[in-house]
Amino acid sequence: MNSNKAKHYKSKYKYKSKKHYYRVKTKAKSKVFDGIKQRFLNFFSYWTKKNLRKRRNWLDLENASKLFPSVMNSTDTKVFRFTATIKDDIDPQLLQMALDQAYKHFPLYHAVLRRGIFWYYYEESELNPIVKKETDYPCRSLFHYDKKKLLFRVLYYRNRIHLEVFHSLSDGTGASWFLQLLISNYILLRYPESRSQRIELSEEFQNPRYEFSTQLDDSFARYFHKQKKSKSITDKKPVNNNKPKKPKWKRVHRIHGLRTQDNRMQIIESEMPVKDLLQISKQRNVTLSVFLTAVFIEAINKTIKNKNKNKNNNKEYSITISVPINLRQYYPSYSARNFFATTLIGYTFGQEGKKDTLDEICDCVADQYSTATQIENIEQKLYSLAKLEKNVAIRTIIRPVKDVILRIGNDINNLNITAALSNMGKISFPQNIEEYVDQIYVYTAASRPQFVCITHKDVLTINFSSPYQDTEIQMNFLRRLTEMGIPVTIGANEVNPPGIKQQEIEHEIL
Amino acid sequence: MKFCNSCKVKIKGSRPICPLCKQPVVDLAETELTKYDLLKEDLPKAETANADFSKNDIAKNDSSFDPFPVVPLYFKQYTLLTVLTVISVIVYGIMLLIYLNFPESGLLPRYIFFALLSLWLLVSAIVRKRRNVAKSILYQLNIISLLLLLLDKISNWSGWSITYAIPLLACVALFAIMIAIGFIQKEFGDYVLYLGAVAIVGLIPLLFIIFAWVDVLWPSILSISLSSLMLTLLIIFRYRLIVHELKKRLHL
Ligand SMILES: [Zn+2]
Repeated sequence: MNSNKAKHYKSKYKYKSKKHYYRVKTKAKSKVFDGIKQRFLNFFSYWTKKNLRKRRNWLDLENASKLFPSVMNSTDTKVFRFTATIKDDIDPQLLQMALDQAYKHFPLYHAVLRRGIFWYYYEESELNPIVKKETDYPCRSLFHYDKKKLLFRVLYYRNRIHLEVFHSLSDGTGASWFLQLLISNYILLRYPESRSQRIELSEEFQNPRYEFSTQLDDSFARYFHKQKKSKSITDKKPVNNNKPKKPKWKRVHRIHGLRTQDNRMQIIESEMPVKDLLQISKQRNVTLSVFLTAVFIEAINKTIKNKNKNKNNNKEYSITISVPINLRQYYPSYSARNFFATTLIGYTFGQEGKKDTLDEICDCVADQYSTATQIENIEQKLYSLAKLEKNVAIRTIIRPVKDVILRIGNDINNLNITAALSNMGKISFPQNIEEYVDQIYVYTAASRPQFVCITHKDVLTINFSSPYQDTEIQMNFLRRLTEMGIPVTIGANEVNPPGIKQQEIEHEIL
Repeated sequence: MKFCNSCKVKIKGSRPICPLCKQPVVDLAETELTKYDLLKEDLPKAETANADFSKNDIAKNDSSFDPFPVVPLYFKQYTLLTVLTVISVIVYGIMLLIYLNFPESGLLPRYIFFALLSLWLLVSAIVRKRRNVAKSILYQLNIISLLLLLLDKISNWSGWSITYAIPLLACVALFAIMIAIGFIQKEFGDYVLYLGAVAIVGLIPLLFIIFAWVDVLWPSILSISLSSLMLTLLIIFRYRLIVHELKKRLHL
C-alpha cells in the first residue's frame, strides 16, 4: 500500500508547475496524433511508398514448358530430382551458403510461376531458397496456383544433396548446370583442401551458361518461330519423298497397376559400372541408349507375358517408349530453360517370322533412333509445334479452358505411350571437386513406369520411378543386367511404411 | 548392405525384403565383401572398373543406411468443400422429396435451394481465394450481387436488389478492398487490378439509371461517384503499374 501511495504522489507532483503540466500534456497529445497519422500513412502506404509499387519483370513460358503446369497433378507433379552423394554427411549451413552463391548466378531460378488470363508466366521474385532436411517423399509438387513459391528446392539427407526442380522451369540439362555449381560451391566450402590447388575449371564450366541473357534465352522461339525457313541451320527441306515409314503401332500396351497408397512415387535407384555396360552394348554394336531401351522393352514384355500366362493370344501388340531428345546438341544454346523434343521408340511383338529376341529388339530400336535423331525429322516436328503455339485461335482461348484442352490432349497422346526413359548422358565436375562426389542419381515424378539414367565418373545410375506398387518391370530389367554379369547395387524408398499416418497439411490441393 | 539371392543385386539399407521381388534378403557379410574386394585388388587397376566400384561400396559399407527417410503415409482429409457439397445435395434432395409429397408447402424449396446455393458459392469462393484477400472480395461482390438479384427475382420482383442492395454492396466492397490492401502492406501490383475491377463493378449502377430501372437514385449515384473517384485516382497515380500488370496477365 505504501509503495502505491508513493507512486501516486510522485506522479501527481511530477510536474514542476501548471505550465509545465500543460506542455507535457500537449506533447503527449501530439504524440498520439503522430501515432494515428503514422498509422494512417502506413495504411495507405501502397499509394505513397515506392517499394510497394514495384513493377516486377516477367517472362513468357517457352513452348515445351507450357504443357507442364496444365497437366500436372498430385501424382505426376512434373518435378524431377537430382541427387548427389558426397563423401561425408551434409553440413546444412555450408549447403545453405553454397546455395545462396549458386542462386545468384541463376536468375531463372528466382522465378515464381503465376497464372494469367491466357497463359501462365514467370514472375521475378525476391524469395530466398532455404535448404531443408529431407522428410518428405521424393518429387512432391512445387507449384501451387495461388502461392508464390520458388520452382525448385534443395534438400539434404545424410550424405545426399537433392535438387528438385519443376519441369516447367528447366529441363534436366539446365538443372544439371545448377547442380554442378551448387555441388562445386559446397565442396569448396566443406573441404578447404579442395581449394588448395588452383581450381581447374573444365571447359564446360567456362562457357556462357552463367551469363544471364543466355540462360534466359528462349531457344525454342529463337530457332523455330521464324517466318523465313532459310535461316534454319539445315538448308534441307524436310524429306518427303523418302519419308521414313512411320512405324505403325499395333495396339499399344499401356501399363496399369495398383497405385501406391498415398500416391507417392516408387523410386528404385540402381548403380553399376558403366564400362561393363558399354562393353556389352558394343558387343551388340549398338549405343548405350539403344541397348537400355531394348532391355526396357524386353522387361516390359516379360512382365506382360507373365501376367497373361493363361491367355494364349497371338495378337500383335506394341510397346512404345517416349524418349526426350536434347536439342542443344543440334542448336547451339546455353539456355537453362527447357529445350528438348520427344520421340517415340517402339517394338511390335508377335510379328510373323520374328522371335522377339533382345537382338531383334535392339536392331529395330537402333533403326528408329537413327531416324529419330536426324535433324530434318526433328525440325519438321518442331516447326509444326511452333506453328500450333502461334495459332491465333489457340492463343486467345482463356487459360482455364486451355488447361482442360491440354490435359485432354495429353491424355490422348499418352494412349500411345507405354513407358518413358531418358538418358542424361555424362555429368562431370571440375577435377578438384570430382573426388568428393560419389554418385549422381536423377529421377522424375511419373504417371507410368519410367527411368532416367546418368553417368558420373565410371558409374552409371539407372533410376526408376513409378506410381505403382508393382516392381516387376524394374525387377525384370535389373535381373536381365545381372544375368549378363553386371554388378548392380540398388536402393529404394519405402512405399508402404509401417506405423502411423500423418495428415496432409502443407500440400493440400483444394 | 543386403543381398537378394534371386535378383543377384546388392541392396542399400537395412530393409528385410528385396524391393524388386519382395523376397527376404540376406546380410552381405563385410568379411565376404572384403575378400571379394581383395581378390579384385590383386588385378591391375586400370583394367577393372569393377574393383573401384566395389571398393567404393566398402568405404560406404560401415555407414550403410537407407538412402531415403521413412515417410509416414499421408491420409487424405475430406476438404471442407467436399463435405459442404455432399450436405447441400442431401438437404436439397430431402426438401425436394417433401415438396413432391406435400406440394402445399409452396415456395419453400426455392428458398432452400437459394440458401444452399449461396452457402456453397460463398464458402467455395472464400476457401479457394483465401490467399488473396483482394481477389476474394471481388469474387464475393460478384457472387453476392448475383445472388441478391436472384433472390429478388424468385421472391416476386420488386427491384430492391438493384435499387439499394447492389449499389450499396459495391460501395462496401470498395471500402473493404481498400482496407484489406492497407492491412496487407504488400506490393500493390498484386492487388491493383482487383481494386480497379471492384471500382468498375461499382459503375454498373450507371446502367440502372440510364435504362431507368430504378426510381430511388441516391444509392446508384453514391456507388458511381465513389467508383469513378477511385478509378480516376488509379489512372492518375498508378497508370504505369496498371498497364504493366495488364500486359503481364493478358499477354497472348
Ligand atoms: Zn530380389
